[in-house]
Amino acid sequence: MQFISVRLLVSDFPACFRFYRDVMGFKPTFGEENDVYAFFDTGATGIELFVRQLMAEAVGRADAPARANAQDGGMLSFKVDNVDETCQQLKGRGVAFVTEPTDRADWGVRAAHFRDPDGNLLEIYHSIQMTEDARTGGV
Amino acid sequence: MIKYISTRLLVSDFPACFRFYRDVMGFTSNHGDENGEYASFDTGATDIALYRWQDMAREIGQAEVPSRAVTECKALLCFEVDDVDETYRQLRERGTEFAAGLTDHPDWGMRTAHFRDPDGNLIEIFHPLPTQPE
Repeated sequence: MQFISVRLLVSDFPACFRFYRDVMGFKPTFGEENDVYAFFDTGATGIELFVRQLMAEAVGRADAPARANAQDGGMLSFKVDNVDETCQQLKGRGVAFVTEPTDRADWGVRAAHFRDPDGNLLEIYHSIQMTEDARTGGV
Repeated sequence: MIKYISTRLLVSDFPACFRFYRDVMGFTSNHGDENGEYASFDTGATDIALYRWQDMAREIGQAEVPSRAVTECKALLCFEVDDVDETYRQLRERGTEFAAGLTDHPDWGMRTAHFRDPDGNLIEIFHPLPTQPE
């Protein structure tokens, strides 16, 4: 069982295509801005974009509402060399952050959170010293 | 350099999801256990992580938002297997119900089946279809 990709089922395909190419800097190896499907090479598991309605039809969910105000069900996590630096670069490309770079010693990371144009939650982080009780599994 | 490390599923039933990714999908946990609040699984590529979704919602200031709504799926996890019919049979033996059964998608170049983890996250298994002559 080989983990090939996370497929984001998006409502604004062109905006998401530009975001993953121009803001995140991944290379599209299939598809372009005006397609319904694209694959981005990340060096590991790929990130795919697909028009949400088409996937909903394929799995028999076409009559469910396309979206609602609800908490996030998933998140993509990216490691960077320096989260403050990457945060500044992404802000320069127009990204608004949900959380600013923050030390989370209990997670062992310094992390910041933002969203793609479709509202998918993304995290960037670099590792920091984990607190002793987190490392040993305590509360 | 932005390196893709993991997909974190924000789940409501952590123990059921932990058992599903370990016992049904067959991945090895490299952090956490069934009674924790965070776990990750080694897939050989990026990790699949589990985290309790109310904790994540609190971290990003979303605690007041409804936890769940009936909508189309926003994402799926896609796995390539050697023979999707064979894996389909194995997963059914482990109690998995399928949202969409074995289907050829010549336009996608894949034979697929779709199912859900205990939290409703959509999962696709596939093998490539032989290339059709133009």
